[in-house]
Amino acid sequence: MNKIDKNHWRLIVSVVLLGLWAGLSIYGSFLGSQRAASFFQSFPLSLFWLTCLVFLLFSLLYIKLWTQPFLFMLHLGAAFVLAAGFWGSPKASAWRNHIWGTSEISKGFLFLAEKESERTVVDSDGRVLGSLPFDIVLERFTTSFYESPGLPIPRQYESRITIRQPDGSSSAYTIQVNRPLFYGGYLFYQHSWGKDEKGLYSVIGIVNNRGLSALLAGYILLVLGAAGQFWVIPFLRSRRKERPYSS
Amino acid sequence: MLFDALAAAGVFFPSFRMRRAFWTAGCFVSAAAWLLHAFWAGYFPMQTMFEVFLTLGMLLGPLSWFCRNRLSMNDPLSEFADALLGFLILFPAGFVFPEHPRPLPPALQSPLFIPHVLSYMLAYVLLAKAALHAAGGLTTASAFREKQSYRLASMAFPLLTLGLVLGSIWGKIAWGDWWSWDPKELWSLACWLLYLAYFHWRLWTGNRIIKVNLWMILVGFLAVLCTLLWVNLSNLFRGLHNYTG
Repeated sequence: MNKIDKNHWRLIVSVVLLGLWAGLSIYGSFLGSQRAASFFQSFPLSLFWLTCLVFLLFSLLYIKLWTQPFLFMLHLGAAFVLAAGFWGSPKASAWRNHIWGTSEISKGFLFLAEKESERTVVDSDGRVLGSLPFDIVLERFTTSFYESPGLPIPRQYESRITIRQPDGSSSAYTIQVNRPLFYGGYLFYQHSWGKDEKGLYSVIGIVNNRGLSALLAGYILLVLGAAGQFWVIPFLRSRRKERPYSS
Repeated sequence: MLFDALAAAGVFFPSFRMRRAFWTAGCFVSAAAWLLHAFWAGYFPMQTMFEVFLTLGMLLGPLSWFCRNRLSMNDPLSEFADALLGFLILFPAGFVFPEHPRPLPPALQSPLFIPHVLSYMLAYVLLAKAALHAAGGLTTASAFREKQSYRLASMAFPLLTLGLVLGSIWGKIAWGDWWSWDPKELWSLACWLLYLAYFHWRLWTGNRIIKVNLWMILVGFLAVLCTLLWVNLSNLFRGLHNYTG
């Protein structure tokens, strides 16, 4: 085997980082979602993410990459996704609240009974995380089920809500599974529902949209970069081979 | 499945027409079975393990045609690999997994359901073909097999990327999170990263170390099998993706 070209050290580091990342992902899969979330958001792993992001950003300065637009898009897309993941993470949200004195909510839940107004956001254990700057009223919550001989199989859950602003204005929305509401910098989605002595209640999940645009941009770059590099370029090369004398 | 099995055995028959006839009949029968099940279920059948394997079998025919006619993969091993793959995919569908359709739960009622799962199904078939070529090239460190497996993995990678991205977007819409650290998500990411590592490795070494290239393809496909089978069927992994049965 020929000596390793020193200019290829980037590829060697890439293979090592990618292999390590794959190994960590496989390890994390055995932990369960909650423990995996704690593991991957721990300080050592945060350093690992930062290393990958810094390496990706440095790779974008590699001149040879500039002559290969689809590879550049792949690397830029990956950098966007990692950076947006940092920016939208619960830790980053806590840092922003600490540094800027904001009261941003990263992720929580609203427990809504019909005709009751709520703005307090709690976590999955019921601890108060904060309050929204507006009230949400659950006008009506409905569930529908498929006809089946055994246990009822849910078909859809729907929460019809009204959002009331402090200035008195209000607007009506419907939230279903896979049909969330984007409002006030947050995403409201139908998480679950329950029943207590008062009747049915709807559990609306609430997540902030920090990093949304960067993440979507990163995803678009990744998909277009991959399609271009692995489909378009080989296709164009094969066409050039078929027509060697075309001008 | 019977036709695919006969097509797999038929590679030993000298008559090309007989081999191709059995293979083509197998493709049509699996497509017909898929359509019948879709009609019975009332939705695009990709929810249960039976439906996933039925869809994989249905996709094998068009993808094999594409590889033969557009990627010029016409050699006898490719032909045998296709037939063997058809048998291996449709055997569980025919004899292992229950076929009764289940109504779609609310989380699966999304326009992203079909493109997300279909991207992965297409990628998995191509990666399975790549793995068979890699396995076939191991004993002789065949540069030809290495190139075939590389071309198939290259075709599959954008689909793998699309499936991963669509899954993340769907997760945001349905569950509020781009990434839930679900076992299925982590294994899917591991597959993507392993193939990405393979492409970086191959960019560095070319085909100077053919056996390592072939082994990387096989390791990547092992991760695909774990994602598709182990995560869904084992009680070790409990997560948001347990719709299959």
